[in-house]
Amino acid sequence: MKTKLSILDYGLGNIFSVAQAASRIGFEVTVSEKPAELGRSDALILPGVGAFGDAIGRLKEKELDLVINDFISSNRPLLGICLGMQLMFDKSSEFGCHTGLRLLSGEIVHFPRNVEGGKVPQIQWNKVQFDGQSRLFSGMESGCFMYFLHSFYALPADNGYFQARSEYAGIEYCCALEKGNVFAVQFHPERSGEVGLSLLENYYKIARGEK
Amino acid sequence: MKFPRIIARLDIKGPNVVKGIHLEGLRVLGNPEEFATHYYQAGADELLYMDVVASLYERNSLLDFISKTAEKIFIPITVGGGLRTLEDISKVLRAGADKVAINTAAIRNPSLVSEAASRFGSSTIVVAIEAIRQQDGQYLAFVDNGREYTGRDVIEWACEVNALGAGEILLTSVDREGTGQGFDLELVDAVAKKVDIPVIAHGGAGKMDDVAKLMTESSADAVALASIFHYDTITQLSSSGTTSEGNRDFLKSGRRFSTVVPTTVAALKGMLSQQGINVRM
Repeated sequence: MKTKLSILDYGLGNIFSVAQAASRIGFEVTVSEKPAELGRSDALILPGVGAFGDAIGRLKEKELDLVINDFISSNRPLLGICLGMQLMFDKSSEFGCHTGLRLLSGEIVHFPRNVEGGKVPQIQWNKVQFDGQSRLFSGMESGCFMYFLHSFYALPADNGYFQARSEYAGIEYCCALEKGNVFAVQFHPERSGEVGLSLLENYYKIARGEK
Repeated sequence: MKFPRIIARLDIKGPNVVKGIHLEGLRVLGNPEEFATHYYQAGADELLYMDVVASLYERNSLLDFISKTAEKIFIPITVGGGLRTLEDISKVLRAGADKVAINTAAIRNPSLVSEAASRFGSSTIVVAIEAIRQQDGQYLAFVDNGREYTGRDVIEWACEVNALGAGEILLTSVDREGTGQGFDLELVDAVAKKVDIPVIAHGGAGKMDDVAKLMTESSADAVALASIFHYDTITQLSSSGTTSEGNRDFLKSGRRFSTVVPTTVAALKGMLSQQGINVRM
């Protein structure tokens, strides 16, 4: 039986690429904003490109925050990509102060501006470093390149779970994490070539209960 | 850490990849899908499709092409050429492009930049600027492949574009494009040092060393390359029997622009890396 992946559609971001990559991996992909459809999935992806405040507003308006909470309580995996990762935290300072989904404690902050060696947004490939065990990065090497496109990054308040790091504009920051069945990446695996696809393949295996 | 991006640029007219040959017009180089797949597999960091639009038919075939490549190429794709309205941009993004490049429409109606940035996200909007150097050293922005005068000063326009919310600037030196004489480093720095968004340099690469110089002697964040890659690609694709007769004659005659020394993505990245320039390997 095919493993069902739902990509949350809340009107922001280019969902097409995520859907293409996920299908390629083997997921049966649905793009939806309907709680019933989302609730029937084996795994969820929370994508996102755009502003935090706008995004959280839309999620709450469609009651997708409740869907996400229910999904996690049922122990099924959730993967946040880019803005999707940021939304999982407590708050962000983008265009005012906004409260996030509060799945993870910590906040979202802006890269320092006008620093030598770092235009903002970061639009480039960069190295992802990690040590220790991770299901999401299983079989992958620390130092692999992924594609980043963002101006804000996460500052987790708790370091008790797996975190991968990257370095930009003089800041070393958390670019991926794994806490139980909550996964998040700041970069775009669907735009990171074959390496990105292998990370998504790991997510597929997790969704199928093989990891 | 900064990792300058190596972007492969394809100029597309209808069903073909084309290249403007100095004083000769456009030459057909081959099939866009083959070129795109080749560059993806070769390790290009991003792809840039510039549409040389002549008709509505050709615009639709571009949308098909974007969708086809977005299904099997998993690196960022930027599409530009003839995009005039928010609806044009939306169509291209929905077809699978990650970013769009706008030039003429932006300079004629700057509020399009802020509207597009607001609707689709700043990081989706690249403003393309074509610069021609004037006798007094000033750079002026042109549109329509350097043919139409706008009177806008490039630096001033770039700063305005930055303020309007564009995510990146694609800066072409019309004087250098296709000549293989190297990048106009003065132009690149004049813009890159004034704006706080990334600048992609384009126009002038004749040999690998030109790219190394660009990365070590200017503040460019990325480089878009066409001729220097394509003249190698057509050789590789022709050996697999897919190049048209016209191109084989072209290759045999040695008439490709003699100041361009073709290279591959791998060779270029290897050389840059050896020179201490960080690139994605």
